[in-house]
Amino acid sequence: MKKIFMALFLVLTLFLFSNVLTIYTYESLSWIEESVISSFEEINNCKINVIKLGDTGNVLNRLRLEKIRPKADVVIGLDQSLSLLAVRENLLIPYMPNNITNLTDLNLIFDKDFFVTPFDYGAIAIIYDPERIPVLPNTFEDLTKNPSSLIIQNPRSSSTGQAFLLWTIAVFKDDWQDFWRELKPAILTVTNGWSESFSRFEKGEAPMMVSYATDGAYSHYYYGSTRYKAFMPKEGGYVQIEGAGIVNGTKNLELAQKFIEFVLTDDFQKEIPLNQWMFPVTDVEMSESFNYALKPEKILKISSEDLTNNLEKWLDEWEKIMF
Amino acid sequence: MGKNNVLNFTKNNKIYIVIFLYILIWLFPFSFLFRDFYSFGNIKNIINPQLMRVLKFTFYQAFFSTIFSLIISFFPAFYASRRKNFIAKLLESSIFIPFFFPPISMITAFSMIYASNGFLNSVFGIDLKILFTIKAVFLAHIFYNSPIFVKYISEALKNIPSIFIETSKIEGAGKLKTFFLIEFPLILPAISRAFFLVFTYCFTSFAVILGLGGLQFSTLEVAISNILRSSLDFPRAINYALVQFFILLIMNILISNIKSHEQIVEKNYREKKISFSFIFSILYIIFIYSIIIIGITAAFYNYYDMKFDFSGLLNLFSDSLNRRFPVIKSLFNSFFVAVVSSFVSVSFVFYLLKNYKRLTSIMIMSVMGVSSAFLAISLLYLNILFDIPYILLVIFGYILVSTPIAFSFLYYHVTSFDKSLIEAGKIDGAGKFQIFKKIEFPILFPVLFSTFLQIFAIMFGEFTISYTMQLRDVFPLVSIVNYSLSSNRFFKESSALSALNIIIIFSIFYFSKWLENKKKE
Repeated sequence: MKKIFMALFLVLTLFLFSNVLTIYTYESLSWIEESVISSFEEINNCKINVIKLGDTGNVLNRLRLEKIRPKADVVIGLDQSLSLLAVRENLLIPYMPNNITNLTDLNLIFDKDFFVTPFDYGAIAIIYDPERIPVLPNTFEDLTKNPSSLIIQNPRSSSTGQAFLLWTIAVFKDDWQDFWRELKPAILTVTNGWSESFSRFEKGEAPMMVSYATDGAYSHYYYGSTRYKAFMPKEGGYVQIEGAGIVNGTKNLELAQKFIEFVLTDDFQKEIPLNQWMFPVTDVEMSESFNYALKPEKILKISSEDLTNNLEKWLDEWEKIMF
Repeated sequence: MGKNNVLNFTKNNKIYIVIFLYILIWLFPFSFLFRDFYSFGNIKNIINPQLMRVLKFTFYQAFFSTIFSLIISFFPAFYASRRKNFIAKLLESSIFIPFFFPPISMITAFSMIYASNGFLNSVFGIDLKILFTIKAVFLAHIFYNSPIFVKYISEALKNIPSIFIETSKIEGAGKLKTFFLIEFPLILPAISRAFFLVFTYCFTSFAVILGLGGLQFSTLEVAISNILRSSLDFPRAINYALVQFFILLIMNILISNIKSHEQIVEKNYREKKISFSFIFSILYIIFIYSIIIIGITAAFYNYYDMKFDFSGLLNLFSDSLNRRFPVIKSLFNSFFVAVVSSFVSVSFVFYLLKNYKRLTSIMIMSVMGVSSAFLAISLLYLNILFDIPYILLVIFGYILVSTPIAFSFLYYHVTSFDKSLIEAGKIDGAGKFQIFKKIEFPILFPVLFSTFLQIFAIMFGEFTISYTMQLRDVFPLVSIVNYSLSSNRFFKESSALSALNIIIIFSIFYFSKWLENKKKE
């Protein structure tokens, strides 16, 4: 009996007083559980609880729902536009990591107040199966020429989907809605997240999908050839930068700050290329497969001001066209 | 007031209090969401162009799915009513699909057959190109719901006394005239009941739309889940949910007011030349059962590469896969919550039906229109506010959702129980508990147990709540883990888990039917 009580006491003590850092992220960042988390746990003598919530939009939504009683300490995977919403809704607190100088390019810091620290980046692109799309698309207009051929993501729930929408807005400016009306017949389906899209694309359910310019590297690494090719319309590319931030209301501030610093260390950054298939933000060794990643010749941007003022309106207008 | 009157008054009040509490329990999770995210000023915007678009599409797909299901099921129903052979048995057995077939397993099997690189194209070179089109939604709804028409229509046809048909023949009426003037009016109530039931299922369709259509084909339920998961626009989601609730409430009232032609007659299995019905029935069986067979055999046969492959099945229970996708844990969790919630809802429904009042039906069936996606977010919010463990919230949610189903399954059996047996027990001096233990329970046990098993099967594969609550990492349930496997390109493992689900649910369903038949014998 005494032993049972001792064991119960031990379990309860561990439960109540253990150092647990809860991280919210999206589904396809789940690789961090297998490769990098353990080293942080060892160094900081803590336990990390990674909760994967669909795609980035779902993560942001959960933070909103938990605003009065936050359960997460750190969020990773918010990009420029979703970070803006998170900051505006007071969901994050600022923290400038001590090792911010590790960044190879300080232009990657999209949030000058450091609510969000960048940890990877990559250009959005259309990937396609050359066996099923024999004529290489060259422009956005070309995308509209293949009916029911493209898988896209819902920009409300997916950061990739949102980046694609913003890309088209950056290209077509005020006429972006006309483009989407033309594009609609070419869209096979809209999924909630990138993982689901890629799953359908790999099954062969559609010959094209909105993804990343680094997918050529993925294809080369896994299939030994660029079985899937990426294309970036000649109008220019749109770069998505992903970041990590500390949740407003965290009960583990010190540990959360350490984690933000951890994402800029080599331990974390060196895993990004072959797991996240994005470019790391620090100078780490790159796989030669990345020679097959597309690099945009011209980068298009939308100003923070435009994003702040219009994002919600754009999303509503997009929904009106699509649903 | 005499002693008996006082007792009746107390008993009546008790049941009304229970019903009142039941409704309060339903409202409890929603009240916090309303408190924190809704103001009644939002109701002004309830009708807006966006809602009208989604509503219009929801009606459109539900109406045509129901019409197509009716048309396709008519000849199989006719055949099943006229024959008592293996084919007829297979047709009637398909009734397990609408209620029990796990939606994720259906989506997996459907993709394996109808995808561009699926079975149909690989083997027969037929690429229907239907995935992610409205045609896939219609086809999946036909698969899911036409068995309801087959069952209802065939039963109604069997119940027509043969004397009616014989008289019609003697009077010189031909086959068509007999059908339209004699049989059709008699089966019309059954068709209407089935029509409303199927329409309701299609109206609230979730997994089919999400898995085979895509977000561009959002129904109200999909739109509610999507809004709650992505933009947290509560006023909009609540408005959608209210519209859905009132529409389904009207549907339920319509269903409950249709009186079917129920006459105990010797079943008529009239042997006639029905070659067209036979051919159509065979095609129907191929369509329905191919999805089940491919769904099961996908555990060890890769339909994309067309070769035997046990790796998915073996990997399903490996440590490495379970570290990322908690398959084993999800099987245990789903089993546990399904057992507890089915037991509670069957017991509760038994109590309600024992003390049946007209109000009970109205109250219990009215909650069928409540959006499961909305309930899910309300439960999640309870966890956020009060740290109520997920396991309790899921059980609570499943009890709420399964109570109306248990009610409809048990209604006839409990309300038609021979009261004279209870009176005899009372005369012999037996107390309430003794009457229950010695008379009611032994007689009703097969029905109660089979209902328990059927509710268990439904809850075991439940998807909407677990998907909307995003439970995979916090309290994994088998449907959401399976969905994650598929979304993360673990196709073989996903197919194997789907097959396992089908086998579990299929076995439970047939065991429950066997029990029911035993009771009848």
